[in-house]
Amino acid sequence: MVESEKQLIARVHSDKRVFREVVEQHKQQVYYLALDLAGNHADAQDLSQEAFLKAYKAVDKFRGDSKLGSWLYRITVNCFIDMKRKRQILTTNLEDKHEAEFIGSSKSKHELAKQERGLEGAMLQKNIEKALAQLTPRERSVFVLRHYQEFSLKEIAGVLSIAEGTVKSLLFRALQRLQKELEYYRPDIGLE
Amino acid sequence: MKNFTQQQREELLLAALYEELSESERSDFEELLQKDSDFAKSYTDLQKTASFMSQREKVDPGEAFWQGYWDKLEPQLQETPTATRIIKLPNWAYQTVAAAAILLLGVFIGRSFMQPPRQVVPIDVVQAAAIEARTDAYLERSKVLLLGLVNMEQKEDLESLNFQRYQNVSRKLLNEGGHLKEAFQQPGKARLRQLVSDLEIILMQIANLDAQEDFTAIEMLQTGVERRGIMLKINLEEMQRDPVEEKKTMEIL
Repeated sequence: MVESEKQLIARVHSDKRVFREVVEQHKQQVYYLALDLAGNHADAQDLSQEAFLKAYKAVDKFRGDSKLGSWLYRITVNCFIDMKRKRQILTTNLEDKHEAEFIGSSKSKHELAKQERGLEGAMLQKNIEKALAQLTPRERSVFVLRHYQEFSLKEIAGVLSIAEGTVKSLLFRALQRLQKELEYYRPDIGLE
Repeated sequence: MKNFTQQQREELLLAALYEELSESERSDFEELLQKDSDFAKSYTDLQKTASFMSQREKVDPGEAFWQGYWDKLEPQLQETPTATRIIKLPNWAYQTVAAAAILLLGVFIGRSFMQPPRQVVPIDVVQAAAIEARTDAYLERSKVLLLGLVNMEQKEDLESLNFQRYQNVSRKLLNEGGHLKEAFQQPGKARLRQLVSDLEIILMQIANLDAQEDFTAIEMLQTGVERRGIMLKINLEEMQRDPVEEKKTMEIL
């Protein structure tokens, strides 16, 4: 499987359709990871596209000793950390930023769902995003990969090329920080 | 109960939270959970926090977004230069280049900073060289002039010559000899000084001679040159000043 991905990647520059195939296969994974990291659609779109561009540019560096998906995940996380370093991403403004950019029927579907969910649900999402926004890029990357992408601690260490002990340490710090951020909502979430 | 460090406690909490406890860890965790109320509370809080955060919803950006994804990406691909493949050279190549660079740097430093300072020629050395050159020229011209006189045999020879020119040259040589004598005041130049003095007498006679009237005056000059051995002295002086010339002369002799 890994070998076939390597062979596929080797043909990327000679045949652009090959890269399109790679993008089509992985765009959802990469986009949703970018959304988990950035917290809004606009940044997630930029981040995911930048990740694919970097992958295209550095395709020769893909050695095939990890899965292509993991390699793309690593690029996406690195792009996110770079992006955060370069500018402040407004991660708290989920509704304001991304709903306006949704197109066609998806927008109305989303708004309909939001209305059904009611104000309470919207507030919950907003508070979760607000809490996530307080994490450092590395803490957020580890937390997101574990909680929303369901990677094991070992897999996270592999994707981010860091020691498993570092993953644990970052994850614990992330959970503690989130706990502190959610202090105001302690009664609501059962934290007394 | 075992003593656990803070790090061990944190690792146990995380492993339990994500259901990644090994058998030995599980027993440690359960022991701590039962006997340490702070540990138990920490675990409960972490569980609730994780549970709260897991309520996060993912919003699907919609079919249109997915369908247009490649169309947005493709134009950017054309603007993206692909990474240049790095050619890995063997280590010896880098070592050779490094050695050559160090060698060149050494040569550069040596040439730029470690060369002995360029010798500054003192002014008196320059002057001495100039005096030597003028002396050579003076001796050569005097010799030519005297040879012409010495080789005259009859009045017809004198008539065929422009004696006036001889006299002009004599005056110039007298003038030059006066300057050179001043320069020959230092020790070791006594012989030259004497030669110039002898030449001055002869040159003065030439400059004041009315030879057009009487060839006898020329004969007297020839005698004077011969008596004073001026030609021999000039030759000897030139030989000493020019080692190559000296060797040639010795070979002839």
